Amino acid sequence: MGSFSGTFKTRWFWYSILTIIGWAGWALFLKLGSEEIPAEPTLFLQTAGMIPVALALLLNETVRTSGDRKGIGYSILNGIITGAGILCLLAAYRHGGNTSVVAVTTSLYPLVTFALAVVLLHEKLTKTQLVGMALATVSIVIFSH
Amino acid sequence: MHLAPWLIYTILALICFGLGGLLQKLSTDRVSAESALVWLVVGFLVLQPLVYPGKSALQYSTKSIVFVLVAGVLNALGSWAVLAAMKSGGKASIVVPLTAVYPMVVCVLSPLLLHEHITALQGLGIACGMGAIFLLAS
Repeated sequence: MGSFSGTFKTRWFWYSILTIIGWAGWALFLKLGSEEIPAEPTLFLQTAGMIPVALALLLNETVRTSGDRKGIGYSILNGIITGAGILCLLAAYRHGGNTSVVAVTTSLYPLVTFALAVVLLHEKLTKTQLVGMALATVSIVIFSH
Repeated sequence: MHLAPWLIYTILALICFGLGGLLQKLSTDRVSAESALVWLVVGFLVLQPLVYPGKSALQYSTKSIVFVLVAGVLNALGSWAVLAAMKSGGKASIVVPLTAVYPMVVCVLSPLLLHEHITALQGLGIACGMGAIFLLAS
């Protein structure tokens, strides 16, 4: 409990909670909008919706002063790879993939990130956190149906 | 061994999304979360020609278009927050599974906003999601 109250005071935890709220709103509005609009135009329009936020962040001084080429390269690659992942997901559905199987399989991406982070970034998790990740996986699988 | 095309695309999507989590950490080790988000959007824009709908985008109702645009704004804000979490010292191996439980919030809000019902299985999913947040934060 002590370590939890410590985490409670960290910025990364509250930013993570903010992410959960932001992405939950994203999923809700996407569900409402995509009832009429097909997948590809939805992807095009939602990316257009991201532009105002990016433009607003350009006002932040750190954006203009962060010139690390590797960091910028990783960020661009992140956008391309995530976008490519969405296109692969759409292609999987188009090629007759079972909706539940495709959704559940792709929702397991945190396991891939975890494996890569352990091998490449040498990150370590406590036993309690490993149980937490297992619970998160169960939750993700249930909601991806 | 012959793999069905849909399975190949599914595995590719899984790898892309997982790799994305790693790249979030690698980028915020070197640039600010704000900078990482701006350049991430640039990366997304590179792929826009592949999904450019042309004039057909105008045939949909204004309401649906606004919903999707708002979804894009919220996606960007959520993405900025996950980058800020990693910039603030969060481990990729913890932040990625922690933030991936966001459908739990959708499920809780759905009865209020979309008039949908929560099933027993979804109730279990919410319990697991809450437990995951608690344990990953420990």
